[in-house]
Formats: sequence, C-alpha cells, structure tokens
Amino acid sequence: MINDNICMISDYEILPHTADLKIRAYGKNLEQVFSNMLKGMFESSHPEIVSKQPVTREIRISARGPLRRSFSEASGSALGGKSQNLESLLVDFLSEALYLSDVNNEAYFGVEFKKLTEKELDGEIKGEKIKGSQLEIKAVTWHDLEIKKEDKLWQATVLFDI
Amino acid sequence: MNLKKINDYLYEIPKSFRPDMRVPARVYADEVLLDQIFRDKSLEQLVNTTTLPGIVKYSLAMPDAHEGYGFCLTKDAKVMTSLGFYKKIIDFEKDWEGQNLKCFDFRRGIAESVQPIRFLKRKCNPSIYQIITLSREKIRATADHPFYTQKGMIPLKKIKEKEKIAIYPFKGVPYKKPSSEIIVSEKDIEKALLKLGRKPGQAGFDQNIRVLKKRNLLPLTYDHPKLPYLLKIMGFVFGDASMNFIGKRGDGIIHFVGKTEDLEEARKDLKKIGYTSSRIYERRNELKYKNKIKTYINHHFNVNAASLVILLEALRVPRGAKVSQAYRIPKWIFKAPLWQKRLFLASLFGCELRAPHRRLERKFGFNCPTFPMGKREELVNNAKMFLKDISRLLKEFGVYTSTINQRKRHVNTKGQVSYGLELIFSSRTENLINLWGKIGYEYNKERQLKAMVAVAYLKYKQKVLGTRKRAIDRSRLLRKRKVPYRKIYKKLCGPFISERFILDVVFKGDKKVAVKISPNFLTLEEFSAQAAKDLGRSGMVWDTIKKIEKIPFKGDVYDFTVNHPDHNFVANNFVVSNCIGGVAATDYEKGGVISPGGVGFDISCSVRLLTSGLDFEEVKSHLEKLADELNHTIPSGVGRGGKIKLDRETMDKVLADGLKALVPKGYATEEDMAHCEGGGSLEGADPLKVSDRAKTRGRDQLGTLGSGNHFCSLEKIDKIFNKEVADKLGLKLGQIVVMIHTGSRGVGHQVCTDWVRVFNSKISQWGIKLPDRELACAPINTPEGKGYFGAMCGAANFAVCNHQMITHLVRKVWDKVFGKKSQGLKLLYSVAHNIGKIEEHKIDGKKMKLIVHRKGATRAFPPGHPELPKDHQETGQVVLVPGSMGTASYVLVGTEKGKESFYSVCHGAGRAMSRHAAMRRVSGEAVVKELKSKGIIIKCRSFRGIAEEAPLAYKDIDAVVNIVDKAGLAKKVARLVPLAVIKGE
Repeated sequence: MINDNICMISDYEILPHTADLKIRAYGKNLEQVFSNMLKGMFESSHPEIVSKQPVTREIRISARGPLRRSFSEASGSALGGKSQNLESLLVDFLSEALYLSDVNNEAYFGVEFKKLTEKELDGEIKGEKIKGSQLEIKAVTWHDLEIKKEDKLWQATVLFDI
Repeated sequence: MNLKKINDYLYEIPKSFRPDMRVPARVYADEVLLDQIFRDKSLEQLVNTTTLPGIVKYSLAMPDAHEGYGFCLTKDAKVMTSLGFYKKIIDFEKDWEGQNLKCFDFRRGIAESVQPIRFLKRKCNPSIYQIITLSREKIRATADHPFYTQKGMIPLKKIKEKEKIAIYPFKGVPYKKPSSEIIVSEKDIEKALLKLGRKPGQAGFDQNIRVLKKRNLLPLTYDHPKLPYLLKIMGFVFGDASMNFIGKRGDGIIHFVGKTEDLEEARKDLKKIGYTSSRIYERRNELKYKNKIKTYINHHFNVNAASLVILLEALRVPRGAKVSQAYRIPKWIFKAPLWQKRLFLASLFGCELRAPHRRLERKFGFNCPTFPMGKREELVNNAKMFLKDISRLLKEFGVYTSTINQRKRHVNTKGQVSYGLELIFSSRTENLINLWGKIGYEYNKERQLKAMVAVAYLKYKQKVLGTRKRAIDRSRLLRKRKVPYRKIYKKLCGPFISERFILDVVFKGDKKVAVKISPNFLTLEEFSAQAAKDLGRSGMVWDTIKKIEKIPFKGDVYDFTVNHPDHNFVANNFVVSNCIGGVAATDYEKGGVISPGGVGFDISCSVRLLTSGLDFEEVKSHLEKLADELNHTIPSGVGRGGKIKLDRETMDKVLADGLKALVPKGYATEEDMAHCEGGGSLEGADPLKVSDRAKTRGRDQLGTLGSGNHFCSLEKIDKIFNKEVADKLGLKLGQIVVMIHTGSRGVGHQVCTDWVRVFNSKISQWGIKLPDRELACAPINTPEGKGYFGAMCGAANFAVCNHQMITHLVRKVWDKVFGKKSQGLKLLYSVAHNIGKIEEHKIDGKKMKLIVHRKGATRAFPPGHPELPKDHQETGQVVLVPGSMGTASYVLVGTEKGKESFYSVCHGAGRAMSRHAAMRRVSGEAVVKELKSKGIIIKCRSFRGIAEEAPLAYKDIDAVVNIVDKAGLAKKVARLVPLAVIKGE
C-alpha cells in the first residue's frame, strides 16, 4: 500500500554495481551532501575502530598550494590549485580524505567547512583511529560522477574503485 | 546496429555505432558470454575507449571483462515502442532492427527512445517467475531478469513481495501492419496545386513536386515510414499550430506554438520527415490586468516549406484561420490502423485537451475531459460534425463521450459572431484509464506525465473499489449465515475496510449498497507525491508487488539488447533490463594518448607463479601448518602497515629501479628478474613524477597483500593440456605451486588519482573531448603525458618489489617447513594486468610504436619474442589467469595469432555479481565451510570480505579461458586447483 512505506531520504545509499562501490549521498545543502558522501565512503569500508578518541585533520583545496611537504606524516592535506568545478572538487575532497585515512590509519565520518565554494574548500574532517577496514577503497573514480540540486535537495553519486 | 561476427569467438562493433568512435571495438566472446557483455556498462566503456585520440586499429574487450546476467521474457510480453504501440516480443523476431523502443534514463529521470542491438531467443530452463502487482500488471520472466526497484535494477528472484517496482502506466495500442494503399499520390498534389491557382510550368508548381519526390514523400502510403511523424504534426496543426501561404510569392509557412521541450520534439519529428525548422523563438507579451502588468512568455518556431504545406493540404489539413473554415477529420485517417489514429489524436489532445484535473467537490474523482472548439456562427454545424468525428475515432479506443455543448457566444471587433463548443468525455474510471492509458498526449510532456500518474491512481482506485465490493458481497453471505458483524469485520478488515463500513453493509440488509471509495483513500495529490518519487520526469510510477510465484514453463524465452547505458525497455508496462577488461593501443608517434583510466587504479596489479620441487603427496600433511605460517607471516597491510617501513631514499630507489634495488639486499636474484614482465625494472620510471602523497601512502606497504581479490595461494597442478610446453616450463601433474596476486597498493592508487586530476584540468587545452572523464588522457608527447608514464612505471616497479618481498617471505616459510627436503621455490613468471606499455607492433605490414593499455588484460608475447627470458623463447610467454577463490586457475602461453589483440588476453574470471549481492546470498562462514568440504583451506583475518569474493560471484573461468584458447590468442598449458588460500594477517 502506498500509504505505508513513506520513503525517508537517508544520508546516503549504496547503489547496485557489479564490481565497484557506488554511493549516492543527499543533503539539504552542499556541506551536508559532501559530509554524507564522506560518511558513506568510510562507513561502507567497515572500519575497525580502535579508539573512541576523536581525531581531526585539516583539508584544503585551494589556489594557495600545499601546506607542508612531509614524507612520514600527513597531519593535514592541502591540494594545490583550485578544482575545475563542483564535481572535481568532490572527487578531490574524497581522494584527499582517502589519502589521509590510508596514511594515518583513521576513518572520517563528518566534516566541518570553514569555506566551501564550487572550486575551493577549507575544512576539518573528523573521525577515529582504526586498525584496518574490511573493505579497502582503492580510489575515487570519475565514472558516473554527478552532483546536482534537485527539488531543493542536493544529491551526489560517486563510484569507488575497490 | 549490425554486430559483425568475425569468427566464433570474435565480434566487432562497427565505427558507425556511435559518432565519436575513431575505430571499431572488438569483443572476444562466445554466444553465451556475448549476452552478458551487453548487459552493463562494459559495452559503453569499451566504446568510450575507442574515442581515445591516436587509437590504432580497434579497442578490445576480453571475455572475462563482462559482467551481467542472462535473462529473458516469455513470448507474449508486450514491448512498448516510442510510437505508442506495442508488439508482443515474439512478433519482433523478424523485424527488430530499426525499431524504436521506449526506455528510461534513470540518472536523468527521463524517457527516451532506443534501438535494439540484438534480439535473443533461447530455450528456457523449466521455471519462470510471474509477478503480479497491486494494479494488476502481470509479467513472466526468468529468474535473473532484472526489474527496476527502489534499490535499482534487481534480478527477479531477489525481489520480494510488497517491494516496489517501476512500471510505465501507458498501455498504448497493439500494432497492426498498415496496408500499402496510397493516401496521397503525385496526381493528388497536382490537383491541390491547381486548386491553389498554380499552373504547371510555373515555379510554384514543378518545384514543390520535385521537393516532395526528393524527400521520398510521394506516393505517401499507409505503410510509409514517415507517416507516423506526419500524423503527429497533423494533430499539432489541427490544434495550436497553423499553416498558410504568405506574401506575394506565396511562401508556405507552418507556425508552431507551445512549450520549449515539446517544440523540440516537434522539430525532431519534422527533421525525420525531412524538413528543417527555424530555431525556437521566445516572445514576451505584457498584459495589463487590474492595474498589474503580467508578462506572458510564449515560445514558437516556424517551418518555411511550401511543399510541406501542400502535402498537408492534400492530406486535408485546414489552412489558415480555423475558426472561419469548415473542415472535418480527414476520411483517410478512419482507414488507418489504430496506432496511427492514436498518434493523430494524442498530438491533437496535447494541444487541446486539458491535463487530468481533480474535481473540486469530490476528493477522488476527475473532471470530465473536454475538447473545445471555436467556430463562426454559420459554421456551427460543421463544428459539431467535427466533434462527432473525434467521438467516432475515440470509440475504437474504448473512450466514450457524453455530449456536445454549445457554450459561449463571442462577438469580435468586426461584429462577427462565433461560438465555443465542447465535446464532453465521460469521467468514468474505465473511460479515463483508456483515454490516458491508451492515447495519452504527444507533444505535451507535462500533461503526459500527469496522465501517467492519473492512470496509476485510477487503477489503484479500481483495485480498492474491487476490494470493497468483494467485502460487501462476502459480508452479506456471512450475515446470511448469522455470523455477528464483529466477527465479519475481523475476517474482512483492511486499510480501506473499516468497522463502520462493515456495520453499514450489514445493517442495510438486502437493500442495494453502492460501491463507493473509502473516505480515507489517497487524494491525487497524496498519491502523486509518492508515486513518481525519484523517477524524475520519466513517466514511470512505483507499483507494489502483490505476488511473485514460480510457474512451470516449457518453451522459448526472448529478450532485447538495447544500446543505452541504462539497458532497459518496457515490457508489459514493467521497466526491465537487458569494463574493465580492455585493450587499447594508441600511436606513440602521431599524438597518441596515454590514459590512466585505460590502465587502472591498481597499477600493475600482477600475478606470479612459484614452482616447487614437491608434489601433493609430499606436501599434504603439512598443508595446514604451511597455510597457517604463511598467513601469520604475510601481512595484508590493510589498515595497519606491513613489516617494512621505507625511508624516502629507499622508496625513491624502489620506484626508480624496481627489483634492481632489491638484489643487493638479497631479496631478489637475477633469475627472478629475468622472469618478470619488463625484467623486473621498467625503463622510464621517474620517482620525481610520483607525488609525495603516493610515496607517503606506500611507505609501509611494501610486502603487503592488500584486500579484495588479492591473495596468496597454494595450488596443485591437476591437469596438463600441453605436455611438451609443460615439460619445457618445468610443470608436472600433481606439482605444488604458489600463486601470488597483488599490486602496487596505495602508491598505484594515488598515482592514478593524482594524474587523472592533472589530465582533467588540462584536457580542454589539448582539444580532447571524452565521453567519460575517467578516460582522462594526455598526448604522450606532452610533459604531462610523459610525467604520468614515468609515474606509472614507478608504481609498476613498486608493485614488482611488493610481489618480490612477499615471495621472499613465502620462501622463508617454505624453507622453515620443508627444510633441506625442498629445492626452494622458483619463479616461473610474473605478469601484470593493469599497465600501459610502449611496444612495437606490426600494423598492416608497418612497424608502429604503440602505447598499449592493458586494463584487466594480460600481455601474451609469442615464442621468439626478444623480451622473453631465454628458457621461454621456445614456448612463448607464460600467461597466468587466476580464478576466483576456490576455483581453478590456468597457465597458458602466448601465440603468434595473438598479434590480432596486440598480444593480449584476459586476466581472470571477471565478476558476475556485485559485492552486495554476493554478501546477501552467502555468508563468509558458509563459503569457508563449503570450500573446506572441498578440501580447500582459507586463512584470513576475518570472514568479512570472504562472502564478496565467493566463487558464485564470479564468472565461469573455464568458459573464459576456453574462448581465449579457441580464439587462438593463447594456448592452455596447465590447470591448477587451490589447496589453501591465504589473505594475510
């Protein structure tokens, strides 16, 4: 009966795909859809959380250039050069978060932005220390990439290589 | 599209398939795997690869690259075409080519038209499923046939009752082949021209006939391919469009008014007929109304074509002002098949008939649709006759009209009197369902969408009314048996059967009870809000499944393969559905490109085989211990580092030199190096082009397996196909070997991510346009192209070192367990299946330097190739094709015939099922248990991730390898079966 199952828009949902991981995230605004996609990406990897102690990492994608060159540690990440457009920005953001996760053994479930435009962002991702994930997300791809606003709701779709 | 069969195992998709293809695409597959190939994005990806600048000959897909299901429908499934008629799928068998089927783009939420590429007919397995929905839509299909649900396309056997499924409520009308009777001949055109006062020999006479002939429009018969589009245009001209000859020269002009999206459709149809229209113009009108100025925007376009006006006039379309002319529905339309009548009416209604709208005073009913007409006083009778013509046409669709009203009287500035008349349609539910479900609206997308929702709503209402009627009848029966009303209510209660309702019925006794809808039924607004959620403006609506049952079946099943990324078409109102793995070579000299997407994220993901001097009998009692030791020793490296942490300097050495950097430390021998693809050290590797990020990610990942489908396994050779070659390679029946499958870990992933970003930002500068940004590429002779190549080779060097370090650990464990007994482990060969190589190939007799991208494909050089190690010169290059966990793997050797695929073959079994689907079907523990029962040991850190890699999630490796063998691209040498699979700690 149509009456019964009123669909609630979730933060994100996993769409069917034969070989990779396809996630669609929603949000009332741009910040929220970016945040929910980040959450979707890390939650789907089923990380094994080692400590509840929260960790934060800075992420910046802007024309200003890299923060600091460091081989052994990645305290934060700054990608030089602005992104081409909103889609590139999303891929860059998620790729940077993935990089920080791999290097620091952390998983991030939310983000607070100091700045978020179509081509630049500056924010802090928040998460926890992990000792591994059940599913290793290798990379963020550009396949079927989409981010748009429809009926007052932001929606983004990203395919991850796993 | 004509799929060209080159031989039993090779098919070609011609360049004409898509306008942006630079070369054809080829697929190695047999009939069975070919079905699966077209089912998903692999086809689209393969075709996308052919757009790479500088690509040579063709892009290739290997048989394992294809994912998908094999599924079919029963012969009576009605398939909807974009011209509004349906045909049973079996009726498409003889002439499916060139048909336009209705399909949906889920991403954009719109309906489109698509042509089938293939028509499939097969003998079915004895069971078929039948779905019945709440609105009584029914369809029968095989278990694997996907339907569109709220979770996307799901195979039928996975869909549960009460789940929602997407349907397209439009029923359309059955197809009937039109006759070849002539409607308009050349003579008729001459007559029309003479009537206009034109004379033969004059410009306005011969010219028009010539133009019509040139466009193949004469003679115009009922079975003329352009007639359907002419009928649609005619409906428009009878409605909101107008046509006439204007000016001194009598230029023919047709003027169309409407909404932009609808006008675009009309322009497309006019193009199909052979006429070019003007662009769409916007006009703003300002009207003063009660001291406020309201701006009205309208859109219109014109076609300047006297020949078309003449043709339409010969078809009896009114020319000039319609209000002051007498005309009827052309007689010839009454002789046309139903689906052609439908096109005319739907287009006319798109202009003149209002969208479904609710009655204000009755919550659940619709207002009677009305067809309006304005006519001068003296022609009122003619108007009534015209409306009666429409009524006559409508009867054939089961749509009935009630009356013709003469309503408004209007006097214009010249004192001429005209009347507004209306043809009123019955608002009974069945009538409306026929009107909107069979005829619908053309050239009015908005109205058609509302009509789709209205049809779904009315059908739902019908169903509920039916439930209530049955409840009335049953309560009466039960009452006669003196059952108390409370008990009756308990038996019959439901969402629309309330206690009060039962009480009313029971107390009315034998008096007649009208069946009315329940007051808590959904209003149209409430229904609309949920009905098309997430389905955009496609016209699809959600329906709930009432019943799914398996039914016995004997006979043939059918399906289409369509050229559309969402691979679907509409059958019985249900929306149903019908790469990795490719090789693309671009020209190094002539601006060919290198594409990270054509290589893959896991750069140089490779497989290697280590042979031992031991056989199964000698090892079997040590298996458990061996597997345990190996699992403890080899780190998976996921989430935690491996045992080795590289400093910056060593990382750079590894990237630059590959195995050469490990030899001095004793981790690799010269012989190991000779038996790796590329000699274990790729020339052209440049650590400076590998970003800090990549290096940081990889610093503690050397000597780790990674996750997913990476593994280390102990295998036994259980079959030898070619003894001569096997002997030369040192392979024996029963021999124990070790297989390692892993790649470049975080280094490769980051290199690919980094360079795709760089390329995408520069692509417009190089003037390259790509259908998929993942194919971002750069001409090899740019600093960026060279930069990626250098980084890719660096990552490949990291990968081979990664493999080597794991080999080193395996060798240590081997020596520990077997001691002096064994002669250690020898590296047979190591091959990569995600790499781009610069190779020389002879194309059409000419030697060319190419960048060969092998993504999910393995190199397979023939005997005598200089790059092969000395002991493989005679046999040809060793090719390793690992199966999935628990299934067989193969050793093959390259052949001379492999030339046709740039010496490339498949890389593995290829996935057949998504990870989610695999996880839903089976648990990790169950998989381990089943493999254990087959004598296969699995060692892993956790069971998660095992289910996803279960054998049932992969294709049939035997089939894949057989195709490669039969196609002559490589020769089977030996088959391996696993004894133990190690995923690492």
